[in-house]
Amino acid sequence: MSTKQSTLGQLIAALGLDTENEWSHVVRERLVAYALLGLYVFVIWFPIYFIFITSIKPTSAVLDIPISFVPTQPTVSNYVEIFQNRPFELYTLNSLIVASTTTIICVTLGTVTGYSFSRYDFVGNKTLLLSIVGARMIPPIALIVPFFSIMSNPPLVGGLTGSLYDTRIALILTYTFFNLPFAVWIMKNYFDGVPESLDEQARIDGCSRWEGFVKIILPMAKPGIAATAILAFIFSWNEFVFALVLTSSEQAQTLPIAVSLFVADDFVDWAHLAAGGMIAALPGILFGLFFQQYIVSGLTQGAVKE
Amino acid sequence: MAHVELNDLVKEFDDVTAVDGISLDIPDESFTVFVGPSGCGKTTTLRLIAGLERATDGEISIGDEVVNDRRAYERDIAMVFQNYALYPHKTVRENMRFGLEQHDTPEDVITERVTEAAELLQIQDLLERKPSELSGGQQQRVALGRAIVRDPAVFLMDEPLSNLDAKLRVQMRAELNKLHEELSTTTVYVTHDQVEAMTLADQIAVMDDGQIQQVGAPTHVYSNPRNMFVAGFLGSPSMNFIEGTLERDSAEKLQLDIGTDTHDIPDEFADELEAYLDDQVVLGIRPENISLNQDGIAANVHPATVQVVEPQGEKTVLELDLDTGQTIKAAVDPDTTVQMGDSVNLRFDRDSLQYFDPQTGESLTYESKSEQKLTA
Repeated sequence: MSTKQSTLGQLIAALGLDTENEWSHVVRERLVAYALLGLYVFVIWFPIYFIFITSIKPTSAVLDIPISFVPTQPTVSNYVEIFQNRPFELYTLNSLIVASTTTIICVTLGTVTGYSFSRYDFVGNKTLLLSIVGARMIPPIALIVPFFSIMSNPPLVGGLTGSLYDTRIALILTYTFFNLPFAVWIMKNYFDGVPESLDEQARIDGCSRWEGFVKIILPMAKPGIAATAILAFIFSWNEFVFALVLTSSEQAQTLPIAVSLFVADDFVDWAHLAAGGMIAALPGILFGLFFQQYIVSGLTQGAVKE
Repeated sequence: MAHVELNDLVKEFDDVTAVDGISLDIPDESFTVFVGPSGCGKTTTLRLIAGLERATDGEISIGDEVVNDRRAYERDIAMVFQNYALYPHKTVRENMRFGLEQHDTPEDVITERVTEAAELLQIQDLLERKPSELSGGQQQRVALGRAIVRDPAVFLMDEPLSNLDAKLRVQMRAELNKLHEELSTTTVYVTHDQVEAMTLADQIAVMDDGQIQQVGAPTHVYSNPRNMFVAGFLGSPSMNFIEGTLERDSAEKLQLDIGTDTHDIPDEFADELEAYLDDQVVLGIRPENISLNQDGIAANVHPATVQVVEPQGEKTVLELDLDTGQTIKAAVDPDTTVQMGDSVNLRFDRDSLQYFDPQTGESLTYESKSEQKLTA
């Protein structure tokens, strides 16, 4: 310990940080901040790194002890095999269709509904908004049985379509149910931050209500729309429990379910599971990284008076 | 160009009556200012004219046509909002073009009008910028420019200068005056700032409680207020009100007993005030019409003690306690040497005296003062 301390002391002295001046303070504070942030980044990214290196290890090397954190014989065979041996392209397609459709529905309905809640002072406006957002506060797990029952034997459209069990529609409807309240809430708050005088100016300039919304207000709401889209997409892309309960075959199963199928009763196919996991995680990560600036501006709009 | 006429205009929001039976003629090419405190209904009136609110009752005419059932864009008006309402995602040029494009104006006309308006307002260099890249004053000009290019029958302006700093406000006020001179478009302007109202208006409408309290030329309204609200609202510091009992002195002349002191009523008001003998009457006098009596004339002077001295550059405002216990303000020569605690004698300018009924707040001398003015 004392050796370590003296080494650190020497380092600090070498960097000129031991003198009690203003700058050494600043530098020391920065060093601590960077160290803490570095630790945090490491904690967050390590599992992803670990899955990645597992996915490019040969199956035989996955369980080697000691664990190698730097792959010695990188291979893409796991990725190739999961597409050859299992219908991974179908799972990916299902995930894409379910997540994209849910996102489009939530953004479209969330935007117009949010705008209405923000601009029209109709009777029951607040109560209705609270009840929509409040319904989302119920823990999803509590709704699994009703959802299973409804999708297996839908009361309203049952006569026309039969069971929705094991269809993408079941997942799209379910994910829309969970995401739409958030979409409405985010968009309502966003529109609250857009001065109403802009709608009015548009009306004076010759727009109908709808034209004003489409030509003036909507282009300004891009960050809010992006935030809504990201949240809806990532939720639908990653959701596992409802997908597990409401689907049973590759005609509707999504990537999270596909990945879980690598876990057998007495054996876990770690290498393929890791490759599947990477494929499942990648779009979400890319989507989030690409649009993250919109999440912040979209969610914080209207928080302070500008 | 067009005149605007409001007839018994009423606007109710649930239980609140924001505009309570307003009738007003806004002449063609005039600059009419609605002025009043917050919540007096002035902005609602403007929004009713604009077509952004629907009247509960009454009629709005622009030109000679009733426009109650017309949408905002069918009323041939252009509006400048308090926060300018510039489209943030469009450039200055696109902001100015948008209204014309919506009305299917030919491209060459659009280009010509935008260029002309930009030159008039000296914003040619800003046309390709977004509103967020402009200062407050520049945004204000763009908002005006957007209204001008429409070449409307009526300009509606909702406190357009209130977001600017004091210096810029004075500058823009002068420019608005110049602009109105040049374009002569009928303008309806809303403000709570009485200085703005006085300097810009040809016609001023003082509002309170959803009703117009008085309409007229700014100087007329200032010097002949119809009631205590108008008298108190216009002018800074505002008019002093001193309440007393009307009685006769030994020479049978009317005087106001204001406690330990009396105030002689000028003979020309004797007829109007006669009916209030032995009743309460409020005397109104503006601070700038009070002077310090230094030449020893004893008649009609009021002893007072200086409580606060506020030098304001062009004048010095004194807060004074009358011997009767009432506190009043006087705006006097900035070179005055009086100090806190000094005893002074005040003289009220007889031509500027106003008398009001304390119950109704109505001026008792409005009619005769207006007549005097006309005769003069």
